[in-house]
Amino acid sequence: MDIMLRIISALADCFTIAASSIAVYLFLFQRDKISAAFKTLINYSTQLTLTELTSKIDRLNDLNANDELQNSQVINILNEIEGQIKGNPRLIKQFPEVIAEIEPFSSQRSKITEPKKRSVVALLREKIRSYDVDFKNS
Amino acid sequence: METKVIRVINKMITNSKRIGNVIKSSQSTNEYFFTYKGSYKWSIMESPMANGEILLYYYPMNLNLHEISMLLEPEIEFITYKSGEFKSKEADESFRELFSIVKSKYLGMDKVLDDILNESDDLPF
Repeated sequence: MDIMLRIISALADCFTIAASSIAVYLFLFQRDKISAAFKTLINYSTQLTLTELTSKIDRLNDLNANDELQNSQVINILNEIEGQIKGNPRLIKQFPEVIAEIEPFSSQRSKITEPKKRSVVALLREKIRSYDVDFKNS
Repeated sequence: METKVIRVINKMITNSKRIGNVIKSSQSTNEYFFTYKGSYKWSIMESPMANGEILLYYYPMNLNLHEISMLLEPEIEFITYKSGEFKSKEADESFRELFSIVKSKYLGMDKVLDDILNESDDLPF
């Protein structure tokens, strides 16, 4: 019984050594690949957010802010956009003007009208476009 | 830069009271000159081409609007913005709304509409 236990613990130690040496090896020699994989994941999520923002722009464009019923939908979409930008640490750094522009309307401190909506859409579209270009070049 | 133009157009639509001195061009049929905030001189026209593009011109010159509207191409300085170049729905709508606002100002539509609206409803007959 005693021998059995010893064999098992020796075996377990061997596996521990093997596993931790793999970790050390990965850390020392494959660090670039791991960080690249993480970067790809983060980039992918940012890219996804940008695509979603673009589709929200199209939805905003189809709504008329001067129409009372559609006005609340416009405010909802603006809130969604604001949330998405604030939820992404990179975007919030890149798009502070957009947040500043949307904020009064999403918090309903001032009323959004059709021309104001178009201004927001134009600004957001340009920001996404220029950020997208930088992003793909980086 | 492009976005600024769209934003400026929408600003003018929002504060359309500041659009003034609208005059019709003597040279092209569908062009209207106007000032914004009294000192910025612009003109807007609907292209006679089939696509009906809206063109917005800005005149940096130190002449009054009437003189500018009389000048011909070579001696006049201006910058052109075309609605078609922006290739987005919001741009097209912005140009079109500004054009219709300027045109209605020229035709004095707000006075006409106010006059009709303010008429009392209980006419004798």
